[in-house]
Amino acid sequence: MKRISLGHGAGGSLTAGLLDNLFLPELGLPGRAQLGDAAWTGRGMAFTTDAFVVDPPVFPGGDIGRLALCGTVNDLAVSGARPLAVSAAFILEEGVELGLVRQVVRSMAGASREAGVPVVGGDIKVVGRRQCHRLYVVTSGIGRGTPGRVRRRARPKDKVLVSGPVGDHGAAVAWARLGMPAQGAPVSDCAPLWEVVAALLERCPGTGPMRDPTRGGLATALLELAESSSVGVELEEAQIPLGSRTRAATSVLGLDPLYLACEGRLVVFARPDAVDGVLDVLKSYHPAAAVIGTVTRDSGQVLLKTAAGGLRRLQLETEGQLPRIC
Amino acid sequence: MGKRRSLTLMEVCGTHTVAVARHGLRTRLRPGVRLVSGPGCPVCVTGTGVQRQAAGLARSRGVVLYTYPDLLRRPLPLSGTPARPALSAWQALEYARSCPRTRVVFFATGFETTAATVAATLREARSLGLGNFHVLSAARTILPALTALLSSGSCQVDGLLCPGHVSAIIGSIPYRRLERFGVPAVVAGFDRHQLQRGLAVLLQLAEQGGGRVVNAYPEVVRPHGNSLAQEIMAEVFVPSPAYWRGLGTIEGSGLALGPAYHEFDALALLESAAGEEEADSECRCGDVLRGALEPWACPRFGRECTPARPAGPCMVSSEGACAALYTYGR
Repeated sequence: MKRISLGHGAGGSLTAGLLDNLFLPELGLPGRAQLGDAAWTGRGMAFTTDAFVVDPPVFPGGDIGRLALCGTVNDLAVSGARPLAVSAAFILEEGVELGLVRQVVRSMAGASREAGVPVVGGDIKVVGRRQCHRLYVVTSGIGRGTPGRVRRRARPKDKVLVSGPVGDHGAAVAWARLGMPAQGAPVSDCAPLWEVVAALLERCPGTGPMRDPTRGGLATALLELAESSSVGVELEEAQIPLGSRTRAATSVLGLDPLYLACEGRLVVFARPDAVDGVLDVLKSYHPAAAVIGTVTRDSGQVLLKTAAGGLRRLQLETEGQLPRIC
Repeated sequence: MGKRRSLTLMEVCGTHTVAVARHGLRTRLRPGVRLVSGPGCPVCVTGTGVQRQAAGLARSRGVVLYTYPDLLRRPLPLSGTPARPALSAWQALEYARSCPRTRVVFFATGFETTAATVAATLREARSLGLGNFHVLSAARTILPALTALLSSGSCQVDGLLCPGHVSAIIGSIPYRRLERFGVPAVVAGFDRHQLQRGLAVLLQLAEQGGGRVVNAYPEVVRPHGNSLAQEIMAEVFVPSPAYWRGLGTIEGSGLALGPAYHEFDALALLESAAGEEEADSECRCGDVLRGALEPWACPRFGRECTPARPAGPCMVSSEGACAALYTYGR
């Protein structure tokens, strides 16, 4: 009998197969290529939802509460919708420490103030011991905007930019989960992105597509975009910003930072004439923002020119390096 | 200089296999230079016989078996058993201390790098007088395998890229035993600079021909290795014959628990001796591990054998040659 494996939740090719063969046809939804991070539901309203099962629930740089708030706000933001309100449902395991629940809710409240997006409602469910692992959070959000204000498709010769170092969230969670020492631990980049997106929309109209490269990291976000835009991407590994702690941690753990989740970074495609403006905006939020690649005509191909001077074709991961990253 | 000849270099270690693929280093080699993987991926070379023994133990009442996570993946014998993943033998030892009434077995695979930590754990178990901690050892040493590979003549190799982590334990000097085969051996590290340096030295030596050993990872590997680790291993283990997928049984290539550690040997818990090695007539992993077949030349590669549904061990292990090439491309 076929069963769900952890890989089905990793955002790689197994997840894609589950969407293509089960969820999308059963729910009568369009193909994966037409799906964005949020859905436009008419009258300029955008809607999105996201579930969070990260293990451990608290990690350097954040926790599941902050992550859930930022994740939903960011899915709206990269679609070009100003986030208006978020709801949050908590699934708690019998026996989980009340102190942990308070810490998570408090940090969600902090992130909500930081993003300027209120949590307007929610739900609480409790399940028996071992029927879930400590606590899970499901957030939904609505936003308002103009569909198409963020350009939908990338074109050959566009430049690819990233708003800061990649892989920090995934590295922080992996490091914490394995009980590695706190000294020198990578720190999650978990942060709301609407402010930087709003600045881009205002100062660099016609920019896009944009993604927040969460599950599956930069590589997966680019592979999905290359497929949906029928273009290719050529990346310069030496230009991809990587924090020193994340570099060290991924080297110790044998993980590839290109496939590790970011939770506060933007990948932006910009027309060649708009690159400087976009980079200026991104740099005003993080000094490590950089131009990391160019769009090519090789549909669906993402090539990495490695720092060692080699060439590597990036592919969707099948299983993912790490389950339960967000 | 005349026309440069074609060369086949072997990266012995699974971690090198992954790093070469990840940095796209194959695309930087001059035409005519081939890089093949060797017998250095622990999961790949471990026979199914001992894995079935471990699976039997994992299913036994009152026994908790720990092993490295790669060994628990489908379709290996331990998948679907109650065996638990551990990153080190130490984790199993701590569990044994906390549950004195449970028999705890650590199934040890891998080379000197991990064997040294298993040996240190066993020494600790003895000093604690832990009666409920056992090790099923499929640990092995790399040099007898390389010797067997080079003397068999089944694979024409012009140079060996030797494993940095193993060499941190054994040192670079033992590789001199391979000099008689007239094949250069270069010990290399794992980041791109170390790996490029190692490959550059190896290429140069291979062009010249002749057996020479060069340590291109001196920041970590000393000529005589780590004497403390060697001492503990010599106290705990004795050489034994071991079965290698693709190479068969090699005398003195295994690490069995020595007489002083007999009481910790999980072999005593087994009802029957090692099971027969069953030959899967269609699986070509053995040829891949000898460097005789490149992964993409296997008829199953990428079709009925992928990391999501591996058919053979070289695709199961993340360090396997097939998994590395499938994941990172040629």
